[in-house]
Amino acid sequence: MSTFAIGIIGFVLLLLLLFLSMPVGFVLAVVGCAGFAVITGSPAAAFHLVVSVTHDTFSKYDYSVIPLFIFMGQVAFHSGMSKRLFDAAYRWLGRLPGGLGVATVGACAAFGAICGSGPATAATMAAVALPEMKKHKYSLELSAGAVAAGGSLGMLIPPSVVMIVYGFMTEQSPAKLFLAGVLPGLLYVLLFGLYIVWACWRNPALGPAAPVGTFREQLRSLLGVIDPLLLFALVMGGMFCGWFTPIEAAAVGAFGSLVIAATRRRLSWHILWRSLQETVRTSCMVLIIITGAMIFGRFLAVTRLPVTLAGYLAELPLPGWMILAFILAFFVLMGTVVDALALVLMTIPVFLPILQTLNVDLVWFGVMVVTVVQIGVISPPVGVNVYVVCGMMRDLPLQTAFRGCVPFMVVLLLGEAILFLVPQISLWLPNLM
Amino acid sequence: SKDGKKPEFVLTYSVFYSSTHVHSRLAEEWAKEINQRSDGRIRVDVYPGGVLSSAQENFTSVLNGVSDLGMSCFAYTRGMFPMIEGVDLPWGYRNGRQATRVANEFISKFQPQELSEVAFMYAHAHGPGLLASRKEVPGPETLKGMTIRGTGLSAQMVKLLGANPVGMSQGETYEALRKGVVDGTLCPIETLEGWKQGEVIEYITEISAMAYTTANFVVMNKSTWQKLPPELQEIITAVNAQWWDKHGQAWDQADDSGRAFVTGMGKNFSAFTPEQNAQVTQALAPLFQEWADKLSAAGLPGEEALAALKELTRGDGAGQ
Amino acid sequence: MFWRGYELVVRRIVWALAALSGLCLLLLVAVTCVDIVLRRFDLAFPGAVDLAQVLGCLCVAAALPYTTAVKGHIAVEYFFRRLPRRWRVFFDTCTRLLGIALFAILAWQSFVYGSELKSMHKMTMTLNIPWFWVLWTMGVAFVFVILVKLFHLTHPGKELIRP
Ligand code: NA
Ligand code: NA
Repeated sequence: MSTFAIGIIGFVLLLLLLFLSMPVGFVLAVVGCAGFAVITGSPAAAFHLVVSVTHDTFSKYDYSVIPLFIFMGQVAFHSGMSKRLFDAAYRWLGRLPGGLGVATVGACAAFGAICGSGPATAATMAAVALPEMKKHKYSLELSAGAVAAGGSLGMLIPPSVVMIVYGFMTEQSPAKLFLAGVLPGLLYVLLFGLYIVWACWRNPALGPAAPVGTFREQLRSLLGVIDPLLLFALVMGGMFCGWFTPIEAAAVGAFGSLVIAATRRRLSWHILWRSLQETVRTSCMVLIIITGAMIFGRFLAVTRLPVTLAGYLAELPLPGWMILAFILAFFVLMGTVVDALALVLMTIPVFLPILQTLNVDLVWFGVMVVTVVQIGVISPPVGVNVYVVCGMMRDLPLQTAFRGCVPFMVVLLLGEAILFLVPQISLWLPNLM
Repeated sequence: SKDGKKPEFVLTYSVFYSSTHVHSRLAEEWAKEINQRSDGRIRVDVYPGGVLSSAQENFTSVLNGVSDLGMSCFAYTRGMFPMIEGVDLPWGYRNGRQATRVANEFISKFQPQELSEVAFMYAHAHGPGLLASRKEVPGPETLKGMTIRGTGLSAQMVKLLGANPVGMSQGETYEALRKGVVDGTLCPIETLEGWKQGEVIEYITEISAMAYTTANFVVMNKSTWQKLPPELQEIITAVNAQWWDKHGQAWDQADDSGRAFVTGMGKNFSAFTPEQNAQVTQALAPLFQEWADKLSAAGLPGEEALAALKELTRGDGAGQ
Repeated sequence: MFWRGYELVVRRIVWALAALSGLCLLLLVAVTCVDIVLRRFDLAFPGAVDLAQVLGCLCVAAALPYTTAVKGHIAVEYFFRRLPRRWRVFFDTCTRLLGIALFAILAWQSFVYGSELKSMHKMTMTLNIPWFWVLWTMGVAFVFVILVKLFHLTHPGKELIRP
């Protein structure tokens, strides 16, 4: 049997086990391990692979931001900091249909500016925003979609892990790539916001507008913004002044939230223990999925499926822009099952020669790639951000969350088209350098 | 293969360098050469970018048959290569060819125990590590109190020179240098181009007393190796003997290109004077003896290894 | 009677591991913050990255039995819910056994890999912390995941620890 066929069988098996309600991370690991054993003909190697990848992922320094940022979000939630923030948002934006959804997307973008990882952004914002939107009777679908899609902005708005890896592989300056992500990130905030308002205006049940109280109450609610702003300023300012790196920033954020909660007399042993419990549970869930995705990725790598498909694409006798469009479509397609980073690592090298022949601006293309893998992290069946959001909210079924993401995927595609047709949006800032 | 013959042996080769990196390309050429010389009997599929095993997993993955071949740095799995660790020490390397030759000759002379579970192909090592920093470093005393990126050996050196080592990944270093979380980094000049760190530093200080290297291995799973008939083993051995110097040359070309990259950006070069280097040598001296003592304590020929490396590192890379 | 004792003992150890996980997280915060502060006073504290790696690994591994016990892993329930009850029980048993097999492999291999790293003296990059015991701890955590899953297998619809 060809490795190609084994790859296809593995994929079918993956879907089957997913539909039989086996936990996502386990499915990815089991199929990846079995597939690897079949292709290499060595079960011993596959068994070693599983534990080796698990250990490597659990102890990867860059992933330590995940538990740390989740912890920060949990402390903010349990100490009431996020409640007060969203009360303020509600007082000011409540009259707008879907106002809290817009606030959530804005908060995601702000958090994306301190966090380079998509899942960590989604997890933190889920802890902060989901309970509040639920309290204000927002539909679960819309809330989940807003947080998962908003969380994906963490990959586009600098700092960004995917951008760094892409930059290294294509020999582009990380600083330019980071700058290139700023305006597209803001464009997406705008598009997401517009979509949410439009959807809630058409169907008020999604995110009902409500009376927001007197102007006095509005002003008083602003007090609730102080603490989150302080925390944001601490983390952002510290990074900007060169006191700590983006990864260390996660620990500073966690510590800062503890200090703020303590000074507001909102920190008890009970709250600390609850926050820790929730944090370790969610981080574990997220990392198990990432581990599973890595193991499955190793299996996909030995099938050579991504590389072969990419190779076919690169040789298509078509005009340049069409090849580019096909490449991006390929990323959307593969992004449904492959982890964002692994996808970039495996396929960019195949596409690089053709991109160079077509004289494509690689900084612009970097933005295009990041925005398409953003679609991948919220698309079924393997959409890490959606898993994360569901893991944070137990009464939220996965299919509801994925359904909530569909319109956001459409918006992402629309934004993609805009960025494709108007490269200046991405290139204006870096070209000022 | 080209004439439609089905290969008898299909081997997987995991390389942690990204596919655009010159050493991944050399690995591909190595694979092609072996395919040709074996008349298509062996095909080697190269998996660059660490998609089959990460840099840290590379060696144990080969050991356990996850991939048949692997290329990564010895230093990424600290403790596993007590003898070869010595090659990385600041012997005052002048270029990549020299460092590569030293690594290979040292390993072939001592046949270290730590490689006994795999079939060793060859080693290669980068050119002199130097100091790239945001501020000027006119002498060793300026280093005191500076914050410099470093893990493993470079952290030890940074500490001995009186500076503060801060650990982080290469990917993070660019931002850390840009924002000033660290004042500098130790690396071969090639890295300043590859990771674009040249954009965010101002000064490059060559300190010959601190010119260290990082040795890389290429190894094959032992049972895979033993399955190959002698004539194919001979072919591979012959290609290996030709290939390591290509890597050495590639390191030097990469360094030249890196030098051109930072020069083009108008960065400032300087070098320590012989007196300043003598000070550095004195500060770093404990590294060498500690290494030898540790080996001796483990029942390995520490003093002989020390003497051998002292001898080997004297020559330069040219004209083997 | 057997299951009652089983439940009590396993639950207690799972809680203890969860507490260990939380402790590792707090230590992770502390180590990083202390490192940042000391750096400003020119006091070298090399190896914060090493500690973050070890603590991060222990944090996730020790949380795994707890996460499993509260059924905190995400799954696609949509199609599954539409199956008839008998089929559901059947497939549920199958996927659980598959999961147990996965963790049996993981536990066994963690001890094997840990011993391999012990004999090869693999350590962290800067602080020279040996890795083998981290692997062994992971192995212990995986064993408890299996024990939790055995409980779930024999008690359909019940969590070992209520979330
Ligand atoms: Na970001
Ligand atoms: Na997806």
